[in-house]
Parts: sequence; C-alpha cells; structure tokens
Amino acid sequence: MKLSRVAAEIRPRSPWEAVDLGILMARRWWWPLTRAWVLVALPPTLLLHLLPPIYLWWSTLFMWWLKPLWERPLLYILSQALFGHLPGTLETLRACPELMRRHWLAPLTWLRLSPMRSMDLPVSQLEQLSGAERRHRVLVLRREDAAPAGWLTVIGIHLETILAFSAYLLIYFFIPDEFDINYSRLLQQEAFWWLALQNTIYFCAITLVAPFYVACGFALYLNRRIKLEGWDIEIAFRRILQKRTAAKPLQTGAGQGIPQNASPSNEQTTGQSTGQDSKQSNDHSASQGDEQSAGKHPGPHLAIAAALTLSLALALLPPVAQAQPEADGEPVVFDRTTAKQRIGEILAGEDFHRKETVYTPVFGDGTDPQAETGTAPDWARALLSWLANSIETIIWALVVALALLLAYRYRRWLAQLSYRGPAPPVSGAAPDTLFDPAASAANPPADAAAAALSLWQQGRAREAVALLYRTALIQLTARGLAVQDGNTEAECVRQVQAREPAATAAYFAALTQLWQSLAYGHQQPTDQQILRLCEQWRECIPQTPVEARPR
Amino acid sequence: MPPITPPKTFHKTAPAGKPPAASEATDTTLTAPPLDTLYTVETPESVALPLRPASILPRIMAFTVDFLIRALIFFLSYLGLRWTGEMGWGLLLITYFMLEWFYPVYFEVRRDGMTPGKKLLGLRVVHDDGTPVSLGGSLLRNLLRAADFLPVGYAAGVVAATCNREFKRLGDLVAGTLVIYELPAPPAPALNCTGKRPVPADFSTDEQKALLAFAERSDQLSEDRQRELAGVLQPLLNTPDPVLAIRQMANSLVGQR
Repeated sequence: MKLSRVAAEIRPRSPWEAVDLGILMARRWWWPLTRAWVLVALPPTLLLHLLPPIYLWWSTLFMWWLKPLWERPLLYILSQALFGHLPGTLETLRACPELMRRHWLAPLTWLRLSPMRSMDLPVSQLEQLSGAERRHRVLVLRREDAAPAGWLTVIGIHLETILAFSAYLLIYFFIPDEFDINYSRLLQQEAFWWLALQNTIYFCAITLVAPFYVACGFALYLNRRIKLEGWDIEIAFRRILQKRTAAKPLQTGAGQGIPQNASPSNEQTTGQSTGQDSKQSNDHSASQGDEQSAGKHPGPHLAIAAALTLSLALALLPPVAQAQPEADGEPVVFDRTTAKQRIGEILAGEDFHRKETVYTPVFGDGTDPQAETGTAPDWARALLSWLANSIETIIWALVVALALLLAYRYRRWLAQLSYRGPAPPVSGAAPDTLFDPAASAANPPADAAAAALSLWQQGRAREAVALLYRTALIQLTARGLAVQDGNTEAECVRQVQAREPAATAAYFAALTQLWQSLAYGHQQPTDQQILRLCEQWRECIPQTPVEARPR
Repeated sequence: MPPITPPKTFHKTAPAGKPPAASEATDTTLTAPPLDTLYTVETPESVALPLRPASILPRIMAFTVDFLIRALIFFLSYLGLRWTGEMGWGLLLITYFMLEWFYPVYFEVRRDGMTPGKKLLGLRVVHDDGTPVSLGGSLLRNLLRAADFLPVGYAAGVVAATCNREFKRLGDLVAGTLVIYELPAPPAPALNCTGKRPVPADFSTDEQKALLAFAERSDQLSEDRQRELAGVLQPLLNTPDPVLAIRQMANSLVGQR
C-alpha cells in the first residue's frame, strides 16, 4: 500500500464528516460502481422474474435479501480505487465469485438485519476475518464513531422508499387526465406487468442508493482505522524523512518495521485472496510476502487489499513485554511455526477479548401493583369536569382581560384610528371670571354711554373706559360672541370682526385700542376720543337689555 | 504521409521535463486532486478559511430532530387550544404555518444559524463566503424547501445535494448558502510524558504538528504501532527510544516539562 497515492485526504475526521467523505468517493467513482452493481445484480433479478406468477411477489423480497452480496463488488472497487488503482469491469467481475463465496451465510441470515452492515463489511471482506475474530474486531471498530453507521442504514431505507415513491408520483404526474384509470383497482391487481414495474422501480432505487451506502460505510471504517493506526501521522513522518534523505517513494511501514505483528493479517489476506496467489505468498516471510505480491503479481488489487488490512492488528495488539526490540530498525525474521505461535498468543490476548459489564435494573417480582387501571369514581369525574369548566372560564376571563388591557394600553392609538367627525363647537358659555367680580356685581347701567361720559367728566377716565369696554363685551357676548379663558383682547377683536357688521367691529377695535393704551400704557385718552366713543355707542353697539351674570 | 496519432496517455498535470509517473492505464486517481470534505473560502486579505460542508445525511438527522420538536410544539398547542372551539382551530392553523415556515428562519437568523436539530449535530448555516446567514438568505432557502420537497419527501433536495461538491440542495443553490460543521474544538489532550527534547530547527509547522499529533493521539495507538510510527523517524533521531524522544519533542513544543 502506498499511502502517498491515496485518492483521499487522510486525516482523522468527525464521524459524520467521514460519511461525507464516503459520499465524495461514491460521487467520484459513481459510474464504475453503478456499472458493476447493475452487471452483478441485474441477472439474478431478471432470473427471479421467471418464478411462477403466484410466487412472483417473492422476487422483491429476494432482491432485498441478496443486497449484502451485491454490495461486495462495490467495496472491492472502492477499496482499490482509493489506493490508486481503479479496477476495470472485467477485473471486478472476475473477482466476484471469490468475493461472494467467502463468509456468505451469516450476512444472509442472522446478520441480515444488522444495521451496522455497511461498516462491518470491510472487516469480513478486506480483513477476511470470520467467526469470533471477526466479532471481536467489529466490536473494537464500533467502540467509537460508529453511531452514523446505524443511522446510515435507517436513512438508506427511507431514501430508497422516498425515491421509489417519487418515481411512482412522477409517472402519475405525467399521465394525462384524459386517461381514465381506476387507480384503486390497479393497486389491488396482481398482473405481471404491475409487479414487474414495482420491481423495476425498486431496483432503480437500490441502484441509486447502494454505491453511496457502501462508500459511506467504508469511509466510516477507514476513519476508524486512520484514528486507531495514525495513518496521517505515518504519512507526515514519511514526508519528514523523505525531505531529509534521498527521495524514495513512500511505502507504509506495515510489514516492514515490525514484521512479527504484521504477519497475522498479512497471512490471512494473501492466503485467501485468490487461489493461486496464496501458495506463493505463504512461502515467504510476512514482510517479503507483502512486497512480493505488491510488485510481482499482475493483479495489484491483491496487494492493495492485503495492504489495507496489514496494519489492522498493529493498532490492537496488546503491549507485548517480550517483543523483540527492533535493533535499529533491523527486521526480525520469523519462521512459520514461531509466527503461528505468536499469532496464537496475540489472538488470545486481551484486546481480542472484550468484556463488558451491563447492569439492568429489575424491580421486585416484575409485576407492577399500580398497573391496574379502573374507571374513576363518579365524584372524581364530577370534580374533573368542574375543574375543566372552571379552567375554561378562567381562560376566557383571561382572554377578555387581556383584550381589555390591550385596549386600555393602546387607547390613544385606537382613538387615532377612529374618525370623530368635525371638531365640536367650542362651548358658548363665557367663563365666570370674564369680568372683575366687583364690577360685574352690579347690573350694567341702562345707558352706558351717559354713565361713562359722566364718569369722564368727574375725572375718572379709567372707570369710564372700563365701563364702556365691559358693557360692550357683555352686549356682544349676549349676541353670541364666545370669549374663552386665555383669549387676548386682540383675539376678541378678531372674533368680533368675523361675526359683527363692519361698523361694530371698527368701533370695538377702537374701544379696545383705547382701553389697552389706558390700562397698560397709562395714556390718557383725549376728550375728543371719549366724546366720539360715547356718541357712536348707540349706533355701533347693539343694545339689548342684559343682566350681569351672577357669579 | 503518416497520420498523426494522438498520444495514448495524456497527462495534463505532468511537467514537460519529467516522464509520466505511472504507467497504469486505469490510474485516474493520480491526476485528480485528493478527495476531501473541505471547502476553502479566501477572504479579501488572502486568508484561506477552510469550511467543512455537511452532506445531506447529517442534515437529514438534524431535520428529523427539528421535525420532532415542531411536532411536539404543535401537539402541545393542540392540547392547549382545543378548549377554545373554532377560534382555537384558527390559531392552531396559524401555529402550524409559523412552525412550518418560520421556525427554521427564526433560529437561523437569531441563533447563529443553528436550529436545535442542527445544534445537536454541530451544523450551522452560513453564506457561501462564510458570513452569518441573513434574513433574506434564510427566508429564501427555507421557502425553497417546497421545491426540494418534490415529488415527495425531499427527493429533489437529496438528489441535488448529492450532485455538487458542497452538498447544496436547491434552496442553498438559490440563496447562496452553505451548511457547515461547527463542532466545538475538543480540549487538548494531556501529554502523559515528562522531559524535554529540542525539536530540530528545520522542522516546518506542519512537521511540528505531526510530532504533536503523535504525542496527543498516542493514547489511541497501541504500543507496537507507536514504536512502528516512531521508527520511521529513527534515522533522523538516532536514539534508543524514538517513541519517548518524539513525545518529549512534543512537550517542548507545547511548553510542558
């Protein structure tokens, strides 16, 4: 095995990433894999259709049953393509009988339902273990990072189903509506063509899924090996060495550095791969056998399959106290008997016998006194029903309360949403404090102008103008002038201008001007001004008998 | 005039000066780059960011977990809302709609690209350039689940994700998003070894990393395999115990006595 020629990046991955690598491998060699699958699986499938029509439905079952055998050529292709040699179709087909003959009973019987099939297949096919050895080896590999293998099978089954149903649906979608087909009758009938269609679709589905399934399981196996044996470390170390010494092609140390450990797997591999090769290989010592088969035999696949398994035992071997120290890298050569003995020791060692203690809680005699179930007494039912009604009431109350709360919380916002019509007219009532309380306590004089003139002549100018202004406001208010708190004199003038005839407005404006000058500016009005105001009083300010508003 | 025949083998990457390295006709793997599950993004600063896209299989697992969570929420809503008559049915349908279309979007945008299922599997949704997924990207990739679903059971999505190297389903292709692994880095294992030994000065970073990996992972390697691996470097080290020597070199790399 030349690790430098591995077609994938060797590094320890998380288990699901290893599965992803499997998908990439299946993608790269998709066509060779699918071709091999079809060539291997199609003939038996066609043969199955020669069954008598009554037993024809068995054919689907057999297709499912035989899948583990059909997956073996795929693993063969993958394991060799990964190490730089993509076997041709003929080469694969020629290897098939040997691949399927070995260890065929268990996978088709009690191991058929094992969900870990994809990850375990390399152990029996590439490492060529069987029986107890295989079982222990499998347990070691499954100790970590094996969860995806089980899920892989679950997902694979679902994907096959989904793809098959998709195919049915696609066919259904493309049947024009004009075809009047009674589908419920179609599904019940057992016509040959209908079963054949079912099998065809199932075959297509498993053909699509199988390469990915096998590749993902192989990748999980590979990832575990990489971690257990430090393949990436070996590659890096060899690069370090190569950079500093004369350039030599990289070769694994498996079978070179510590040959006594490589011997078990190597012997198994070479001994079982192909009939004529085994005799040659077994004659050599372990390390030599590896190199010989790699270099000499026309089928490099053998070397690769062998090499793949070479370092398997290495990672797992117990610490051997009496292991010969490699005297400065010089290999220690075993003869066959000592090697066999060594193999026996290793296989009897601790790492090949995994012990596990499992605790299972068991309570009492296994019967549950609480298990008896009966109908609840009437009072309990009544209570429960009352409780249910109460809860329902409470929930509804909560819903209403929540709604009210929300409405209150957002009342301004809700108010903005509603159209409230034109702005309401401002209340016509004048404020109580429109006039000085002392002044408004008395009724206004019947003739305000005369009263003002007499006040003016007495020298009480301020009271005279105030009387005029106040009476004018009272009169105008009685006619509908709306004076509010906070209105200024000027605003009153503007309101009067808007409501009253021009003469009245002009008079009121002049009066206001005069009053403002006197009240705030302390400017004494002239005789002329007062006289003119008093003269115009009757014409300009409408006279209606009003009473001062009581406070 | 003799017809011009093209060469039998054509090595695209072979330099002109060297002869082709391999003579096997079927040896296609040498010219192709090694398979790897990495997807490298180059930042404007010319920094290569290796992202690890996740294939459809762990994503199916994550989807299943999310589906179970959504089903549980829906069931609980049903238990709560079935008291409330027809209005309850309306609310239940709204709940279903929100769960179906906005459950993934919420988590992908607000929770760092991870729905609970993705978090469990260590997956995360990002844009193609490695930036966190935006609201638009998440909406688009999730709305296109409708296309991925066709004809039934996300068959189109599975096929599409298998047909490209980055494992993108149709929604990811349209939205320009990527599902990557983002597992927390495992704690550095303790180096159960004492003593220091200088690392040769001409060891590059990658080579130092290899020494460190050997020391860190030696718990998982059998002693024989450790000896074998360390024996590779024996010509350089020239010590009676290369295993110990490499582990001591790793000690000096991490500053441990």
